[in-house]
Amino acid sequence: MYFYIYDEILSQQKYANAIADIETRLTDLELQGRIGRLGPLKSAKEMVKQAIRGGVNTVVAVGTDRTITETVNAIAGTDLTMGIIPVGGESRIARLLGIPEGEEATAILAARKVEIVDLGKISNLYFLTSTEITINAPITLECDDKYTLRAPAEGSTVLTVANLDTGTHCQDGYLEAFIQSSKRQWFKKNIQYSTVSFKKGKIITNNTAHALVENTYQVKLPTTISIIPKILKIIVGKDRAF
Amino acid sequence: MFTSKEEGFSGTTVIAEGVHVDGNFQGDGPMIIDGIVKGLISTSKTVEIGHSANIEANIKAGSVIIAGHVKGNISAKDRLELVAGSRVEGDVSAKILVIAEGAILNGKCNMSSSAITNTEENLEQGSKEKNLPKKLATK
Repeated sequence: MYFYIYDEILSQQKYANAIADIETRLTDLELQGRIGRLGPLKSAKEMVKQAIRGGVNTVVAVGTDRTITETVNAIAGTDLTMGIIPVGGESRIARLLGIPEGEEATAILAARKVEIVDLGKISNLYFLTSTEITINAPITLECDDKYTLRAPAEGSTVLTVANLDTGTHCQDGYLEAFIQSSKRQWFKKNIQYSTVSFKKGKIITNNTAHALVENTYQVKLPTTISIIPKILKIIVGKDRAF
Repeated sequence: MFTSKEEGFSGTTVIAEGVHVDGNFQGDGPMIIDGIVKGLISTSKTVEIGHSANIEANIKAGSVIIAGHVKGNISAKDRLELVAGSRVEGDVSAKILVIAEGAILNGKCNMSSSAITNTEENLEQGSKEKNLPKKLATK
């Protein structure tokens, strides 16, 4: 039994045709189910609670990366399987999972290739792909209570902590940190990259800064970050990045 | 701690110039270090210490290639190479040792297999005590 969580923006007229095509296709594939629409007073968590009581076994996020992240946070740790139909703009998460946009995603849903994946957790927010911090001040990453990594204060630093990205694997039980730092040499700026992997850590800075999670949500620093292994069942396409 | 290539991550840990690492820096994959490390560096694979690196740590690895400055003891299970311009202040042990012209080594050198095992034990013990080379810690 399926439950579909629609993004708030999909009630706009410009998405009407796309939604109609998707719903027709889902009916053809016999994948129809109940629909819940996100809104200022309706969260994915409440909808998922009701769906579980109603005997649903698959929750499908229909919308953007924001919808997907909200749904991930609602079903992580439950027995539900998650599906994705990206609508309303390019979805980085769907691309990494090998899911095409719009109506074509219904074929992936019908094929039902399920993988159990890890999730990153920053503060109390789960993320499937990555979280990014851009800062013009020193930043420290404490890793696994064993060592600290301190990026230089020169220029701007970009710290990306990824669970699923090109070159990282969301089933290995580790987070990968990529630090892009710059070093001034005479008149030119030298961009350099550092990479480490870890299971749990803390991101610390003295300045006011935020981590941008899934390019959608902001989490204030300092904060804790960790990997939660094998916590989400998700339907993926064959062109996935892992 | 670091994942291997088979598990998905490319596996190479990289510390760029200007980045500081403090503590017990352990891994299973290869490491390339151009930054500053204080504590212990440990992996079963290769450690490459670049020209700009400044290391105040004991190093224990499968193979070690040094181009920068290392203050600490080094134990390589297979091969230790000091390239021209490198400087090591500490005891070294390895099965194969290559020292290029222009490299500086100030410390004892041991190439017997029992010595490598002993040095590894000393490195672990010394690092647990103070996160410093044993020789330096006793000064």
